[in-house]
Amino acid sequence: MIAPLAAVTYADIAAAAQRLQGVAHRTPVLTSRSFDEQVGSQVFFKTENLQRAGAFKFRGAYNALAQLDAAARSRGVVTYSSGNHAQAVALAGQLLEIPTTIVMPRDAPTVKLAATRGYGAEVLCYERGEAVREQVAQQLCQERGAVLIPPYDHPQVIAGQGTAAKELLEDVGSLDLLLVCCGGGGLLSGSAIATKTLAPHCRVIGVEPAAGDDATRSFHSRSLQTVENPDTIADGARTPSLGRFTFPLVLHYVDDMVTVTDAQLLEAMFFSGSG
Amino acid sequence: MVEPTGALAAAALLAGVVRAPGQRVGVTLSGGNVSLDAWRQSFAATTER
Repeated sequence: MIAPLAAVTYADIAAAAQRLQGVAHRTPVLTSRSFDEQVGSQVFFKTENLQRAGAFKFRGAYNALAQLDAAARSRGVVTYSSGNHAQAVALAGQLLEIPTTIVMPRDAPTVKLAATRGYGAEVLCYERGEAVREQVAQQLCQERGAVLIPPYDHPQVIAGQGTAAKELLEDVGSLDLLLVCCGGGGLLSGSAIATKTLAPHCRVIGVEPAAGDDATRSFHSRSLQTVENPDTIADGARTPSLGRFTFPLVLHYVDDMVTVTDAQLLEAMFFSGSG
Repeated sequence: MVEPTGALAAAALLAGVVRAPGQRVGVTLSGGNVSLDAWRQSFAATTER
């Protein structure tokens, strides 16, 4: 079994960027004078909210699905996700003509359930708290011989997510600091690997919701901590813990982890939305 | 549009949890999938606390 730290390198991110060329959007980098004045920094926003299927998740999903061989493609792909990874896998499957089945919580945002079905995926709902989504997905894989593409703890997914930071640094040049959100740590670890190659002196800090601070506690204690169904409006970061791959990668490549409250999050949503 | 998770990195800077005066800072806005209903729920949940 490959050691987690060796499982994703900058070469994997560069290869992912090749696969994504002409498929994923090279999302724009935006600046806001009012935001800069407010915080006293020169800020460059990498707008992955404008990525295909509405989030960076498309990068990792497509990078993973594109590497499946013909036999695996015919048996299809299964995943579990609270939302954006679901849509990402569904869209990647549609583009690559690979059948996809997504295990989603019944209380997932309706826009995410509808979008996932809209991309042609089969959606299988489970009750949060009654079933373990990983087990539901794994059972489906066994029944169908399908491949499981988890939302973050997968080397090809992590490498794909790293292409966002690669593009940002290529487009704006070196940075002093990169701030990246953290749920399961796929985007964070991929971004950090790309950054430490392209801008070695740039600090990388991961940001979690205060109610779901498992990665922050894991980072500072250097032992894997978990959180159960955290109560936060950041539904994409309600992940229970970092993973087998993402935890060692975050420990190795990330400089610090911090948390923000839901109230602080809401302020930023409106600032970003009007900036 | 930025969804709540998508605004985490921006929030850390805006709230002063991370300060980087005079520095060049990259902020990843990670996602934008949010419905009007979800916005209302976020609003209600946060203002109740």
